[in-house]
Amino acid sequence: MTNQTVIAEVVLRGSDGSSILEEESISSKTAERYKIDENHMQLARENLLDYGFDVITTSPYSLSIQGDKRLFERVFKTRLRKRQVPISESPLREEEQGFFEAQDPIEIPEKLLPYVAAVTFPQPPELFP
Amino acid sequence: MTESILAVVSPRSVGGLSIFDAEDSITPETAQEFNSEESVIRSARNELQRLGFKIENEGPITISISGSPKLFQNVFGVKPHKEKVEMVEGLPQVDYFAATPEETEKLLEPPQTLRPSIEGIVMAHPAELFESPLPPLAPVHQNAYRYFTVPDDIAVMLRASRVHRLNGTGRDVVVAMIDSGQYAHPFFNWHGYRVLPTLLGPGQSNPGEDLVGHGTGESANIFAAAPDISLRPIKGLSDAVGSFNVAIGSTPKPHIITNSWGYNVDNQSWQQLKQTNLSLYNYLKLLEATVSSAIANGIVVCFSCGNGTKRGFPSSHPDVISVGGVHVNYPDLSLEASSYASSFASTLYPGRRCPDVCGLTGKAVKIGNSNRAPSILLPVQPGASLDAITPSTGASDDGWGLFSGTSAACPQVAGVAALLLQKKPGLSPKDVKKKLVDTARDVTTGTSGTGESAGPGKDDATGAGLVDAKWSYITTFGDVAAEFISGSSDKQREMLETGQMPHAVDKFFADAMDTLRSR
Repeated sequence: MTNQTVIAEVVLRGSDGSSILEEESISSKTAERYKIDENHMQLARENLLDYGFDVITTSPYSLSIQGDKRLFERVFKTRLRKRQVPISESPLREEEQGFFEAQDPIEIPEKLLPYVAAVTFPQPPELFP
Repeated sequence: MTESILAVVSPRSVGGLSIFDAEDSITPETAQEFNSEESVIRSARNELQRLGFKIENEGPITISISGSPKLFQNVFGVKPHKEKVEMVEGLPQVDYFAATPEETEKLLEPPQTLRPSIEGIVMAHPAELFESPLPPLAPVHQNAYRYFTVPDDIAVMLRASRVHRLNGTGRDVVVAMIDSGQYAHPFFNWHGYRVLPTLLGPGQSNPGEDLVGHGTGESANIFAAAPDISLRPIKGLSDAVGSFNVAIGSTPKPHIITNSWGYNVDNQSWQQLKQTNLSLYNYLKLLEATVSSAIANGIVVCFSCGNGTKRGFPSSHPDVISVGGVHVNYPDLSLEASSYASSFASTLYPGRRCPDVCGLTGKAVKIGNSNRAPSILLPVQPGASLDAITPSTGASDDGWGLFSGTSAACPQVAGVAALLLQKKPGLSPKDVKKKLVDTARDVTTGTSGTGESAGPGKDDATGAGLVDAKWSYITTFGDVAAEFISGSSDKQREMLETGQMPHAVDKFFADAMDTLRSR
């Protein structure tokens, strides 16, 4: 993996068009309702592979994808910029972790719209040492 | 087992200069010159595999490979010989394959099929380890307090030692920990702890490395509470959602996932977050769904509340065990809410308060210009960031660091949860949470990092209080035992005299009464 390799989480859309993004809050009681069925998830996966992305992990709600920065920018018509954030306010203030941020609103290609509700770039969490 | 030689390959560098010809020091500023294009790495990898080598690891600068001595001889025309090296002073030497100077020259001139994609190859040379399984005698900073060591001090203070002697050790329970990695510190090996191979979350590499030291150090807290769990480290802070999915999908399936991290966003509603940062909102909704699903599928999930004034999500998720911090004063061992640990009323989930229960966290002390909590001495990869944290243990590469925020408290609670699950494997996450909360030791003094106060009963600063391994374990003995434990002394006598307590050998009752007396 080079430093121009980007990872992203693809929020999946169900075959009925719904996604977790529409729910105010999700609990263990309601989470199952938003699971994407396996076939639909496989179609999403195949379509993303067709675009040239690597699919790293799959889950009932999302796919983790990986690809070159230029690929993401071309497919989703955005510019990506790398940001550095501290991984802990204290005591590791000098430790930072980089992540990519979209500079323009992401456009989901028409071919992916039946499967993809959103594409989001992971922001690292903070540690609490 | 067939002997294998480990070697490191350098694919052709983007800067044009071979890493082996670099005369100047390679620094973080210049390291990128020695990266390789993805296509070159792929080409090198494919050719090496075609030749019969196994790819052990791949990064932007190097590829680690292994192969039999015969393979190395066939491909490179070398015949490495065995040498011995002492990796840890006092321990038996280990064998490794080394090349002569003439052979080293040959390795730097790869065969024709490899030449387009690689600059050369070197044999792996084992490092000398400096860290000890035993912590150093670190000085106590003038502003600080007596620190605890793992595992014993933590086991005692969580009242887990007694449970261990009742054979409650977390055996057969798998705990996944998503963090900065897990280094093979001798502390874990010497104690005989079970550490499964680290899995990588998206965007991660080098599974054996933990340059921050956080994952390695904090995992020691789990073993202090539950020495026989199997730990599954997930190296994965680049993509928390992806890493959570790796944890959920791993085999063996984890019973518990512990997380000493969070997002400081619980100072607004979901709608407000959506308006101010749509990308983060989308990502955290995914995390919310993923965590919810894990719990729905029977996995206990613990999250650190946060340090200082942080308001950590997903700690505030209603189904998660939200873990705060309690400080133990020495020598009287009185408990107080840790001023280093956070507590708060959630705005993402109105009505939800954090924490539910606490683990051990040092209180805040000023060291230099920063607040620190140097309460627990933890094993880290030598030279990791947390090896150098002040106050120092005496060296920044001795493999030990003093740190104990809610990052330490959370895996302690996860360990206690493991004790319950060993005894009663069928407990749901909700049951586990209830038992930990119902049996916690009340903390009545102190103020959290957010300025909330502890008091009798459940309070804003510490929730139910400090997790109590002994009491929570006893409540797994069944309803009758729970009624007995919570009953008055008259009630207990009546239950014993009328035989309502299950028949058991005298030793069990002696143990139980001894435990109750020491409450």
